[in-house]
Amino acid sequence: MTIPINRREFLRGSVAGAAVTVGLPYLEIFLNSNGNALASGAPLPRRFGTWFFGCGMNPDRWAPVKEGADFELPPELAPISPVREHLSVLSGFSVLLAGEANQVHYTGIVGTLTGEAPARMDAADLPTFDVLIADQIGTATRFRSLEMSATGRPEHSYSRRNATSLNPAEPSPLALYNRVFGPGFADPNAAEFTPDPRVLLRRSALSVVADDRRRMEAQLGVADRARLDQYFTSLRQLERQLELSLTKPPPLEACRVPEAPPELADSLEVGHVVESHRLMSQVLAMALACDQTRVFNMVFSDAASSLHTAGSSDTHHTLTHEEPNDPELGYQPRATAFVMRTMEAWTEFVQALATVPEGDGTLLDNCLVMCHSESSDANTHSVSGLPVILAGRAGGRVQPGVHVRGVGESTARVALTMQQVMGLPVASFGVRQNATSRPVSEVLA
Amino acid sequence: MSFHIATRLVALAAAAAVSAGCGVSGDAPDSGAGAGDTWGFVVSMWRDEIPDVAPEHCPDGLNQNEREYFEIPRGAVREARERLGSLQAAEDEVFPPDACRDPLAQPDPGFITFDADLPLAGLDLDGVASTRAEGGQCAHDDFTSPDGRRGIDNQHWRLLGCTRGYQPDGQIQRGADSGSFIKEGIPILLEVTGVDDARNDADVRVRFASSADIITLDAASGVVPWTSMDLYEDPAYVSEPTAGRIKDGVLTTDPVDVRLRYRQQVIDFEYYFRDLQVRAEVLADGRLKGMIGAYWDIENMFKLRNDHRTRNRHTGRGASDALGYMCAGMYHALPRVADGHPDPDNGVCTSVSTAYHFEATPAFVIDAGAVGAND
Repeated sequence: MTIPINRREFLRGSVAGAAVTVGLPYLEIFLNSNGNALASGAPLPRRFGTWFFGCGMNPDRWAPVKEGADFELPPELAPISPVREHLSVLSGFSVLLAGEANQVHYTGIVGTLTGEAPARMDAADLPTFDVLIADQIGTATRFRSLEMSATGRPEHSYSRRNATSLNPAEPSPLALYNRVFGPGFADPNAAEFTPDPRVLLRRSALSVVADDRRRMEAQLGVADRARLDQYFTSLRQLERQLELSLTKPPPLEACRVPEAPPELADSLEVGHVVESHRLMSQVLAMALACDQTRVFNMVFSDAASSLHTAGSSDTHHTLTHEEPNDPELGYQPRATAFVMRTMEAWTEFVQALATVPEGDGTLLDNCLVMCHSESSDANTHSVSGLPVILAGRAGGRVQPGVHVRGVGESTARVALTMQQVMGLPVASFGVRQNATSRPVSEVLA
Repeated sequence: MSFHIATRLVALAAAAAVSAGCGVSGDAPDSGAGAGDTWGFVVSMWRDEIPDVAPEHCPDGLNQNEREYFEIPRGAVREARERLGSLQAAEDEVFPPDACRDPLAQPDPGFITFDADLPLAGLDLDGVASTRAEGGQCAHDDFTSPDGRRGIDNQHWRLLGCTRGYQPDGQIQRGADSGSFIKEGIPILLEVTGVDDARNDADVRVRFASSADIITLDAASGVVPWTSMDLYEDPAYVSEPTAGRIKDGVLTTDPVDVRLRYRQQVIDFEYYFRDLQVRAEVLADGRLKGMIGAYWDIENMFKLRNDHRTRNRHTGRGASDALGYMCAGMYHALPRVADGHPDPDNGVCTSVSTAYHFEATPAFVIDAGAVGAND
C-alpha cells in the first residue's frame, strides 16, 4: 500500500532535548509534470521587487515611439537590448500633483510608491506598496523583505510603512551577505539541520506569554480582549517567523550559498557603485533562490543622485541642473552618461536573476521587478512621464515585451497592477487625482 | 456626445445659474448669449518669452553661479555635509554668506545683462518706443516684436537673457514644456464681464484672480474646459476689475495691479505685478491665446526667485546655482534694469517689465462670496 505524501508533512524529533519539526524537501513528486508548479497545482513562489535609480533620463531619448510589441530602443534604452525579451517599457505615466507643489526629488518617488502626491516633504503617511505586497507574500519567508542600497548609505531606502517607519537598506554586498547567509541562515540543501538554541529559547519565552495570554483573556471584557488581540497579532507573527526558523527548509534546486563578497570601500563613484550593485545582485539572486525573502527593494542611486565619476566632484544631480546642453548633441552629455551607466546596471541586475535556473525556467520568470525613478527630466524635476520598466513574468501572470504609453495617466495604475499580479485582493489604489481602479492590462498574460 | 454639444449644454446651465443670481461666470463666447455676458477662464498655459538667442548675443558669456564664481569644488560641500550631517550647515561653512537670504551679505559681483537687439514678443506697456540714449527716468531700450510692433517692454529679459537657465533649452523653457505650471500650484483665473459682442465690444471689464480649486486634467494632460473654479478665499488675490475692449476678436485691457498666489516646487509665495495688461485673441473654440505683460515689482521678484526654503534648508542658493546666476549680482542689477514705478523719494525704478505667453480655457469662475448657501 502506498501512503500519500504531501509537502506539508513534517518529520518530528528532538535536538538537545528540544522538539523539532523537520520539513520534507522539494522532492520531484511534489512538482507537476511541467516542473512549473507544485503537484498540488500551487505555483512556485512569486517574488516582487523594486529597482530604483535617481535623476531620471532624457524623455526624448529614452521613451520608445512605437507602442505594443517590437518597439524600437531609443539611445538611452539601447543598453537593455540583451535582456529586452524579459522587459516591458512603460512611458508617460506620471505622478499627478492634484494642485500640490512638486516636492523636488521626493514627490516622484513617494507618489509612485504610495499613490499620493504629498503636500510637503515628509507629509505622506501612506505605506509604500512594496510593504503591502510584503504583508501578503512575505510572511512565509525568513525576511519579510530585503532592502539594499548600492550607494553604501542605509538611508537610501524608499520602502516604508508610514512617514516614520522606514525600512533601512543594507549598505554593502557584505552586509547583505551576512544578513542573509550569516547566523540564522539554514541551508535548505544541507543534510543536517540544527535549530538555533537562541531561537528555541525565544519561542519558549513566547509560549509562556501565550499561556499568560489565555489566563488573562478569561478575565477580560470584550473591549480589552480586542485590544489584547491586536497586541498579540504582532506576537503571533513573531511566533510564525520563529517556527520557520525551527523548521528544516525544503531543498531548493537553484539555491547555492554564494561566496562571501569582499568588503568594499565606501564610495559614491559610479564605477564603485556599479561593482557594489553587481555583487549585491548576485547575493540577492541567491537569497531569492533560497527562498529567504520574496520581496526586495534595490536602490542603485539615490533620489537626486549623488553619484559622481572618478576624478570629478560634479554629481549626477548637479550636472542635470548645471551642465549646458551640447549644441551639437542636443542633450547634457556628462549627465546623460550616468543614465547610460544606470541602464547598463539594470541590465546586469536582470541578467543576475535570468541566469538562475528554477523549475522549467529561471528565477526571473517567477519574479516581477519594477524599475523606476523619481524624475523624468531631472533638470526641471519633472514628474511627468516617469521612466518605468518591468522585468519578469511573475510566474506566468505577466507577459513581457511590450511598450505601453500612458500619457497623462498616474503611476498608481502601475502600482495597482503590481499588487494585483502579486495576489493582493485590491480593486483600486491611490488617492485624489492618482486614484485608479484600472491596472495596466497590456502587460498581463 | 460631442464636445460642442456638451459645451452648449453647460453654457445653458450656466446661463440658468446666472439668471438665478449665483456668482457664476462661464458663458461660451460662441454661445450666442445676450447683452452683458460673463466669460470665465482658467489659465492653461503660461510661459516666459524666451527668444532664439545665439552666443553672439552675449559676447561676455553667461552669468556664473556662486560655485563657479568663487571656484568652490563640489566635493567640498559633500565632505562638509558628511562631517556636519546637514546640507544647510555644509553650505553655510563652504560658501560665503548667503546673499539669497540677505542680498547685502556679499558685495556686488556684477551681472551680465542682455544688451543686444533681437525680435522679442511682448507688449508695449508704456505706449512709448523708448531708447536708453534718450535718457530720462527709468530709461531703457525697447524691443521690436516678431510681427514688427515697436516699443516692446521686457527688461526682465534684459536682466536674465544671458543666464543659463533662461536660454532656449534651459530650465525655464524645459519646465514650461513639461506643463508643470498647470499640473501643480494654484491656478490663475480671468473673468470678462459685460460682453455684448464676442468680436467687437468697446467696453468690457476684466479681473484676474487666483483660484481655490485645482485644475482638472484630461487623460492627455490637457485642461478640461468648463470646470467650476472658485476664486481664492483671500481677496488680496482677486484684482479690481479693469477696463477692456474686444476689437476684431482681440481682447486688450487697461493696466491693473494684480497679486497672484504662486506655488511651484520649493516656492510658496506670490506674484506682485504692477499695471498688468493683456492682449489675447478670442479663439473660435472659446479659449483665449495671447500675451500678458506687466511690471514685476523687483523686491517681489527677488524674493520669489531666491528666498525660499524646504524644511530646514534655505533653497535659494540651490535654485540660483541651477539657473546660473548669483543672488548678490541679481539684487544689484535689478535697479539698473528696472523701468517702471520710480520711487517718488529717490527716483529709483522699482519694477521690471516682463511678458508671458498664455492660453486660457473656458471655466465657470465662482465667487463663493456671491453664492450663499441657500442661493
